Amino acid sequence: MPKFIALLASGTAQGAIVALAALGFLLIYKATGVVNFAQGDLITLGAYLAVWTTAELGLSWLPGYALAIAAMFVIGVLLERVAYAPLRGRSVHVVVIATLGAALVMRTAIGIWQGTRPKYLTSPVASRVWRVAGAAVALQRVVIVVVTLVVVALVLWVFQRTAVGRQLRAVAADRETARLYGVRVNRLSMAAFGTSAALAGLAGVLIGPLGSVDQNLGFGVMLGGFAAAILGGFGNLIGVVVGGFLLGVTEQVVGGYWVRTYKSALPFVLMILVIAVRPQGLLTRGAGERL
Amino acid sequence: MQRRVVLAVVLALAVVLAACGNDNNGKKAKKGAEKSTAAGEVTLGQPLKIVLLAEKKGESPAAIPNFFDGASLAVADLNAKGGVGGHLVDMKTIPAPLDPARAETALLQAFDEKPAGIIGLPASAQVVPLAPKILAGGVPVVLLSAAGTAFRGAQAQGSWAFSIRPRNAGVASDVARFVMDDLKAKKIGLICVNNPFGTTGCDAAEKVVKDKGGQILARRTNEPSATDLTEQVLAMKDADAVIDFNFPNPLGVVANQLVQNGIKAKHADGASSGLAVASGSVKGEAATNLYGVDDCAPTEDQRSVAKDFSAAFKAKNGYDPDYAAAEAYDSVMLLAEATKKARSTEAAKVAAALRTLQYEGLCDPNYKSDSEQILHHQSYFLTFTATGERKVVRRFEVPDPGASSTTTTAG
Amino acid sequence: MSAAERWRASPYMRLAAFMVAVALWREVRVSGLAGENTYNLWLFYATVVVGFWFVFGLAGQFAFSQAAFAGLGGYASNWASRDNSFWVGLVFAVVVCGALAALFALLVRRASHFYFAIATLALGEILHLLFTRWDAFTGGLGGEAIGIRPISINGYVFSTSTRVFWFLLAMLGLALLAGMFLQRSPVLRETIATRDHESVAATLGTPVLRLRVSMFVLGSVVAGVSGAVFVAWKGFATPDAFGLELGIGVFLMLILGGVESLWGPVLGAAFYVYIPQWLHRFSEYKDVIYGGLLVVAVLVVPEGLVGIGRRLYRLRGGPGPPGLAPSLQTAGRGGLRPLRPSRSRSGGDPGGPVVTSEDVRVRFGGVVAVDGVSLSLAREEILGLVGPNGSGKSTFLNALCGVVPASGHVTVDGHRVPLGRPGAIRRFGVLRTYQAPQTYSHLSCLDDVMLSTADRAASGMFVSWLARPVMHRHERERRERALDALERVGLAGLADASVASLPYGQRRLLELARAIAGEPLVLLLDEPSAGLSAAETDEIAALLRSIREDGTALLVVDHKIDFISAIASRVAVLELGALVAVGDVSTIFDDPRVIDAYLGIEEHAG
Repeated sequence: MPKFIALLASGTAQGAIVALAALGFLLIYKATGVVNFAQGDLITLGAYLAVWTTAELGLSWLPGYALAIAAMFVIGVLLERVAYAPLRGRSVHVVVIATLGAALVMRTAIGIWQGTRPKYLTSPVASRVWRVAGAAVALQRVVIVVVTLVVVALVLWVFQRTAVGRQLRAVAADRETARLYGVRVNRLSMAAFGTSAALAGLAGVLIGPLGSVDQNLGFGVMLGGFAAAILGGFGNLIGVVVGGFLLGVTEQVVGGYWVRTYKSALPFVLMILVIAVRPQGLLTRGAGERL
Repeated sequence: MQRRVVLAVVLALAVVLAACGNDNNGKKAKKGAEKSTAAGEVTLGQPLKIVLLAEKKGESPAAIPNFFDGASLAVADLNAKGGVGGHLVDMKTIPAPLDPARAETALLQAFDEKPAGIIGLPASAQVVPLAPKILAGGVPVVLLSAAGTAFRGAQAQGSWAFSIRPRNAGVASDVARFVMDDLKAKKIGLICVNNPFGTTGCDAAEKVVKDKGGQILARRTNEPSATDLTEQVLAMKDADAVIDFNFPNPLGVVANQLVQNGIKAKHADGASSGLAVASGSVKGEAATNLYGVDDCAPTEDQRSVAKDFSAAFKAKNGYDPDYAAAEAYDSVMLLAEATKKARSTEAAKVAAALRTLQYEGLCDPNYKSDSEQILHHQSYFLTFTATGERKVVRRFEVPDPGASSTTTTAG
Repeated sequence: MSAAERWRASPYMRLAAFMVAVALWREVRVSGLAGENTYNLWLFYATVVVGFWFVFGLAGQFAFSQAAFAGLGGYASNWASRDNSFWVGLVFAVVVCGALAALFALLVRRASHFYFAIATLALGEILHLLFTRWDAFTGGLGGEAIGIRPISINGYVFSTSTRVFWFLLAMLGLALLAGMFLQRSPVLRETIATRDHESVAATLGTPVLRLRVSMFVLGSVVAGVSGAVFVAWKGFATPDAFGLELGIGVFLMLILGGVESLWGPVLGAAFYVYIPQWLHRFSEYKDVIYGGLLVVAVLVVPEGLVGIGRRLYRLRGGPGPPGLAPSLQTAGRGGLRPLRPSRSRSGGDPGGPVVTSEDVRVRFGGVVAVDGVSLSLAREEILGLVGPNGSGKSTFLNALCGVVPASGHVTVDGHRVPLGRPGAIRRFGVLRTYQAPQTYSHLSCLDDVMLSTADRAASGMFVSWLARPVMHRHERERRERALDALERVGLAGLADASVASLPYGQRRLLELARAIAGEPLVLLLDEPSAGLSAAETDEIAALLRSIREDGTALLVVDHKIDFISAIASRVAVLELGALVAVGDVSTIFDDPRVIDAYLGIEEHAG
């Protein structure tokens, strides 16, 4: 039983991070129709920025994290200006390549800036544990789940209940018509990229303290985020979050008891199967046409 | 339109220049003839040329400036005394990326330079695939990595490959012995990273534990990039000690997760512990619970050569030297000694000299090539304080596997 | 033809010249162990990227799995050749890569663009995990396989750098040749059509799934073979050599080199291999530079190095590139042959209707777009389909063609047609045109028209390699028919012109020519007069009448009542998705139900 609790906790936390990552690039997808392949490196960058603000600038965790996330917002807007806006008229292929290029630049820039020795990110709940049912659950994981749920609720509320959210949904449905209705689509794109990058930064500061911070931190998370988005149905916010949790728990629990050696392949196998059988996602209703 | 034309011309020129730039390498053909003088050191016809294969900066974890800093300090020290054989020592650095295909290109470039000796390849991931080329390369290569499975027994003896790092399996066996003898552990858990380094280490440790009548509770593996080892750690629940041959990141995670889960086992590792602690990810109880190994302790060593070196290194580079810097320094010195002994800069003669010389260096008071052409035969056990400082417990020897038993001496 | 023209006309000569040049350059300018090694690396990467060109350049599929397949080929060939010869290993690698690629492509056939790209990322990760964990297969701890034997053929061992060079050069030459054969075959226009607008291609009868899968399999097999040769050359295999870095590198090489041309991979690989050496001082910034180059390339120079070269060539005053279909001498052809619609093989009742729809229903979420429409189209008649905006006319056409999912029954010439599958109805001789002409701007007019051909024999990948004379024979006939169709609509002189250069009215005519060239039994037209002037509308009307006279039945959706009255014999009226009335053209517009549908209930004066 303690083992199960521990694995469940790990899985839930992993799922929460993946859900956060998926939320990030889903935001961009809804606002611009583009999948941002630089999302993983944005997460890594967020973690490194937090290391810089706390370790080198000496700030305590709250202002340090806040500064890092704010900086990520700015970087997100910059990314939109450089890698997306100039290519708006062109085919989606081109934009994907541009985001790939941006990802590469970011990744090596981080390496040059911070070096390649892994870094350590402090956290207010570092190495504290919560004992439940005989298992020790790292408090950091609990924080991850709680924060993710709060953020998801916030994002959903913005989407469904505010004017900005309405505009975003309009742009997602039909960009040109939304523009004709007076929606500032350019501003919205920038805001979407910025917010998405800020969410990535948040994900980075949440998982950084779990191990150590290195250049591959965000990449695996991004892939998991893709898997979650496909599982839950691209465009379906709640579905994506549920999908993320599902994936995390499946990998840790199933992988902990049965498929140990190849457990990290589980999300990907699941993803391919979902695309094959029900491409609109497990949690979306709708026609199964080509996406 | 103009802009595109200019860009096109520039790009075309770049391709042409790059292709043309290629044949600047490999046009050296000269061999050194020696001229002996009546007394004192021999004057050689050619300067001692060394190539260092390591990245100073870059993406891979092996891209640290320490190798370069140590080696160039050695070159500077030699040249301050007039060089070797009447010429200044010439060291060229070629960055060797982690990817074996690119590392091979660097190695071939090094061969094209026709040096007397090559020092380098700090990652075993580079060495293992390139072993055949190194073994038949025609230039003595002093390897900076613990090359596990690549060079064994008869294959190594008489070849061009030398190792400045102690035998990996030997270190692992000694860690196991330390855990059982010094830490009095009976039930042992093993964690190994999924690559040759981890696997040979765990195999060696397992053998020692079984020979000594201990019990292996569980054996787990992990990916080099793993960040969550809950399942592996939980499997160690009832162990007295966990032997963990891993990369620094996962090692740190294991150290922390052991504490978080309230598992009281001692945690022992090879050389990654130092890096893990230095990065700041292992503190407090996780650190005091950790035992590690280091090839070299230049800052703790009381001998005057070590103290002088540490002081000079820190003054020049601004940080304390570690095993990487010290071993690179010793490698240069060893090549210089071999050249002097061989009275020639011809690669074959230098290699022959390397096989028979003995030398007092920073990391080993008695470097001597053994049956697998490993030069370095001692290491140090370490413990760590809660704030992440390290303390040397004692020195131990990592002898030639031909020897019957290990002797450990108080350091 | 002059020597220069012959040179331009034969790409095979250019390939031969290229290979000779590569060998000569090596003799003259390449020296040193590292230099020879890098030169060979260039050939290897160029081959891998040629494979990727099939997947992305030709078929437009975003795939990150190329590097992983190279790894799979390497490990598979190593495993199989441990106690056998190299060739056994190679064949095994081909089989394994081909089978996995086919399985994968079929599994994710419903995914496009991003989803496909993400799925290939997932596949790459799964393969990478397999390489690092499955030691029995890879033959090494953590995937590090060493001691791999070099290639040997009948005792001749490719152990030196020079021998390996010849092998690699031959491999690249073969790959380029295969690509050139494909470029000069129907596969080129069909993959471009699939890539640019797949559902339209499907309705024309292009085997879109087969093309996508076969290009993906081809590219992956090329990668696998390259990987097998690579590991035998190097003597080792490591998982990271085939990881994401190469996966993205392959992309980089193709984009930078130029996606449109087979020489793009060659140039891109040269760039990738040599520029870092040239910039070795900045080697730690290498990836920043690559990333930046990628962004710059797509922004400023999307055609890559090859495109730049072409522009320079044209600047100097050289002629433009040859058209995609080699130019044809039109003199000496026979006179106009009327295009007869292909009779169906086991035809239904010749007196009965050629198309019947029963209770066809289309639903989008909660909206019913087509509400149980039951219609029949008689042989050689023109049936008009009219109705106010939003009445579901176009959707009904889409349902017939399987472009939208629908329920109900549709029969063509006595055969039941499955709904919801875009290519299904083509087999029974039904073609359509669209509201906005769906022509392919990357093709020449002739190629565009040839897409609808009813003769699908000898148009596949293998025929284009192994039985070219057969393919050429069928191509000649297809070209003849297409030219006939172009003459019918008055565009014969524009056969070699690029579709992109045509104005709207001519593109409409082109689309019609394409439909005619397919020798249809039934032609469905969606607002054929949209955007045309009165004079052009009359031309179209005359053309449609002549098509009917040749034996084709037409179903024409349109707004213009005059136009419909001029061509149709019967008219059906839709409103809000339901059939309101069907009748003779002379009386239908006086039907009160029809007037009500268009204008509302007629007010009586007084």
